[in-house]
Amino acid sequence: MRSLRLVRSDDSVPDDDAIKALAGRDRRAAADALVRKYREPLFHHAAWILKDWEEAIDVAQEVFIKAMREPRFFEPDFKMKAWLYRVTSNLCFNLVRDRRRRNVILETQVQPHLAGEVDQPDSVLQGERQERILGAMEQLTEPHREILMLRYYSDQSYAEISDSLGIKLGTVMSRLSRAKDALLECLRSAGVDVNESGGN
Amino acid sequence: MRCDEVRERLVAWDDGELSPGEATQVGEHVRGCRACAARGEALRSVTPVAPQWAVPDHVLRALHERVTGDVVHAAAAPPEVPDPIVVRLHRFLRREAQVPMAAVVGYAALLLLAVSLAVSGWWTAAPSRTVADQPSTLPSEQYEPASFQPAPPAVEDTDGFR
Repeated sequence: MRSLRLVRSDDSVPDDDAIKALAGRDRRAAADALVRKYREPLFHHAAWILKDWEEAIDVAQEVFIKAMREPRFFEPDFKMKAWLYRVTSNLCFNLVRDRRRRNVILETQVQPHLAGEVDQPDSVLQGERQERILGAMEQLTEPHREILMLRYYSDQSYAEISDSLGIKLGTVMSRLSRAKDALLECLRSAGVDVNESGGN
Repeated sequence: MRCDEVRERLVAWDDGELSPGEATQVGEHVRGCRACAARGEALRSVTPVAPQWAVPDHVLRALHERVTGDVVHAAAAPPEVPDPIVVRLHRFLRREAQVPMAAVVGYAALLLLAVSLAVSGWWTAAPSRTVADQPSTLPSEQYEPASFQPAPPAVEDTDGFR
C-alpha cells in the first residue's frame, strides 16, 4: 500500500541530473533549481520531526547552505536527495535531543491534519486510526520513527532509504519490519483493535 | 519458505520491494498460511499516512522568502578576502582628502623604507671600537705560548775587547 504523497515537487523543476549539469555552467542557477525542487519536501520532513514551523524553516535553510558548501554535491555520482534527507534528519534529531536535554516544551506544537475526506464515516474511522498511529509513532525509537517517515511520509524507495541512512538494503528491510512490529505493539498496548487472527 | 522467513519479508512484500522470485514465494506462502496472512494484514493496517499539515500562509511565505537559491548561494560563498592595506588606505584617503593612488603608493613606499632602515639600525649604529679596547675575558697567561721564555738580560762588556 502506497502512502499518499502530499508533497509534490514542481514538474517544471529539472531532475537531479539536470541540476548537476546546470551547476557546471551556472552554480547559482543550480542552487535555485535545487531549492525550488526540495524546499517544501525537506521543510515538511523537518516539520514532521520537529513539530515547529520556524525551526523547520531554519533547518531547511541550513541544509541547503551545507549542500552548497559540500564540494562534491554536484558531482555526477553524488546522491543529492539522499544527502539532503540525511542531513535534514540529523539536524532535526539533534535539535530534538537538545530540546529534551534542556526540557524545552513547545508552546505551540504543530497539529497535523490527516489526509483524506472526513465526511464519509469510513474516512472518519480511518482518520481516528491514523491519529492513533501518529500518537504511537511518537513512542518509537528515533531509528524506527525515522525509517517510517522516510518510507511512508516522504515516499522513498528502499534503495533511497539505504542511501539516506547509509545502511544496507537488507538492514532497511529488517529495520522497517521491526519498526512496524513495534508500531503494532504500541497500538495494541494502547487498546487499539488490530486484528490478527488465524494460525496454522 | 518458513513462516519466520516470510514474516521478515511481509512489510517489504507489501511495499513491493522484494525481488520477483521472493515476492512469488512469499505470496504463495501467505495464500496457504492463515497466520502469516493475518500478520500481513495487521501490519498493513498500521501503515502510517503522512499527516497533511495545514501550513499557515505566513509560514509558507517565510519559507519562500528565506530559503531561496540566492540566499543559500550567498550564505555558502567563501568569505571575501580583504583588500591589501594600501588599497584600503587609498580608499580611505580618497574618500577623506581626494588623495590620488600614486601619492598613497609613494607614501607607503617611503614609510616602508624608513621602517626597514630603522629596523636594520642603519643610522643609529654606535662607532665600532678597536680590538685593544675590548676587554679580554681570558687570563693574561693564556695569551703566552707554553714555549715562551723571556730573553736573558744583556751582559755588559767589561773586558774592553769589543
